[in-house]
Amino acid sequence: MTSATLSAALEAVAHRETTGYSHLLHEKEPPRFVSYAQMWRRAQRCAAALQAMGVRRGDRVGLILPDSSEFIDCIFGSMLAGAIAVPIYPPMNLGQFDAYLANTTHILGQAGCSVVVTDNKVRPILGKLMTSVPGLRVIETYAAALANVSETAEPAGVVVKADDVAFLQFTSGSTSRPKGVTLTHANLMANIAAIGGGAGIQISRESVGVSWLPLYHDMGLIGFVFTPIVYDVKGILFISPLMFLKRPSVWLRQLSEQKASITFAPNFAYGLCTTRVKDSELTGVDLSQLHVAGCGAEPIQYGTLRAFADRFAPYGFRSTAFLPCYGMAEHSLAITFVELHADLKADRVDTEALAGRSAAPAREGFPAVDVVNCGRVFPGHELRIVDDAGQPAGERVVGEIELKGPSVMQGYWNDPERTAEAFHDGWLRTGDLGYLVDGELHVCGRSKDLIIVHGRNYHPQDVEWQASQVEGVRRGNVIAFGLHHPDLGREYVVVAAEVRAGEGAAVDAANETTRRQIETRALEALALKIDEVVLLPPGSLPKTSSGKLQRSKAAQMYASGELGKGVGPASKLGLLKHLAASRWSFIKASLGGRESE
Amino acid sequence: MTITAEHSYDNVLAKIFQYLEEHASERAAVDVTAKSRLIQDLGLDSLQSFEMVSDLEDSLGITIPMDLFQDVETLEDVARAVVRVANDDRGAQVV
Repeated sequence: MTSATLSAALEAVAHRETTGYSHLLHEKEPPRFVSYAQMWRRAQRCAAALQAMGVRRGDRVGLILPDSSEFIDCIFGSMLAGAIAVPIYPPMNLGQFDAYLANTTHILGQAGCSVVVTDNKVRPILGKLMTSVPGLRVIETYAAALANVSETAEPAGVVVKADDVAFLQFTSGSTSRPKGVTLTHANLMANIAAIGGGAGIQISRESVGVSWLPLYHDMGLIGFVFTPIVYDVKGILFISPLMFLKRPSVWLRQLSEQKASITFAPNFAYGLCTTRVKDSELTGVDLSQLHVAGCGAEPIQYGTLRAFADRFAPYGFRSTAFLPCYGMAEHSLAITFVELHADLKADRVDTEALAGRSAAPAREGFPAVDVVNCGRVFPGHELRIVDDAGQPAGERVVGEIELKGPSVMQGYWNDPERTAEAFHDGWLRTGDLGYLVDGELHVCGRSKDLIIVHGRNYHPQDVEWQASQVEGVRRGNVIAFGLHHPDLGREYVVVAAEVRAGEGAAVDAANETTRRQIETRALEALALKIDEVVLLPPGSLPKTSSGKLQRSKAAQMYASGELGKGVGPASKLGLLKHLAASRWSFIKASLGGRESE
Repeated sequence: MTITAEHSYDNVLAKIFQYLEEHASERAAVDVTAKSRLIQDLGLDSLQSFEMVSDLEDSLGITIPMDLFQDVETLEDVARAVVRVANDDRGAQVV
């Protein structure tokens, strides 16, 4: 790879007529193929169309395009026009439009988008945005925008430089405060060089990838749209995320049919395949050519990956294909990879020591947990672990992970305050907890209180705010947290809310309604399923002396059975025992002093 | 061709009710009707909704295109989408 920008990388493959992207739109039809050459021409036309709409160098362009090939045309078209693309996830469900519009309004406003490109289906929903987003001039459909220019149109007079901002990656989850991770071409090219290089997964022109990841998320966009053109790979197949969720076997079948060598997915996707895919769906499936099954974007559970490897070994899957990695949007995409073809490795540590922030090797006869090895930091990048005082920590000491190097973002778009908070002495603070053994990273928690379910981040503040809106809940007296649950293979999400005290059938009925409404609001507004709502009498939730809610303390109390005794639903002793034994609850409990706002 | 007994609206709806009874017991207290909304009334998350759809597909031997699901809110909507696809597959005219 020699290009300095993605625009240059795209131009370098512009003559490839037989290799490119394929899009699986319907399960029963063959994928639709778009060669790099076709895509180059379409992106050029799209760039010209954006210029015709008045888009100038540095302008932000919102992209709300459910169709993966239109989305790719537009994100590359924006780059060729010198504009900054802002990918926004399309609406998924009619029932959630209000929350969707609120989130989209915030993102467009924060990014300062002047133009939005969308499609015919989504456009009617977006009508209100014209008045609610200052500075938004045009909402246009992809088809109508392109119709304004000829098929051979090209953008005029744009030179894209390595230091130009390539696009903004808005972090998911927070409805009230979206943050636009600002990445330059140089950032992306540095990360892509590391991902595919000799210390990475060694991508070649023979590589074939399959992905169902959403393209508005960093792993799908950078990993499977940008990286392939830089390495001029043979082919990439995109499956719609919804199709994967409906029928996970489509992913495995396509890996087999495309003879794919590379795929990536969050931990939950491997778990979903193990539980949902039936043998009858796998006739003829052969996974033996797959040599990179990347796993990232959410905490990795050793047991989930092992179960997948066992379940699909008869179909040729090799556990050496698993490639646990650590990454985050603020670092372009990836940070550490394990060695290619190494077998899945976990560090067995003493549970009790881990609670004290020391990752001591397990002792015979004492509780232990397996922490997945995520490998080494990329060449040319730096990673360190710091203690609470911000000082570098030693081997096997649990602390916050900090990063430095060419993949680190420029900051959050138009947000100097939170950009400043994200850095510490020139290092990017990740908010994640981990420890090093011989230079290999083991991730074991978050110092931020994020709830991560199915690869998506939820800010507890958002969940708490939604719950606070429900009648009967004492406003501001709600704590939301997630605890790792070994049986679910994901976090168990708890909302603990204080309600007015009282007894009797009428109060029970009112509480049941409150409980239902909290669950419903979280689903509607945030698309988050709450596993348990714990209703408590006033004064039950732990607070600091200054009155701030203590989330990790609440999680600890819940895990030890102290929260909601006699008030919550029937005792779930088995579950509580599981939770108490999980490393997440221990680690969170050991960090009780560290609370966000 | 006409709609077969197997793929009639009532039949599909009955299959959905049966499915929910078997798989979503946590909400047994709620009266499930054709008007029940998947998210608000039944408390299904997106993964559970999709699992229900794929199980329906298997039991009826059909494939439901993803775009039909943009407009689904209630069980009634699901049943209508299924019937529509089932009859399209047979080359029948949609009534």
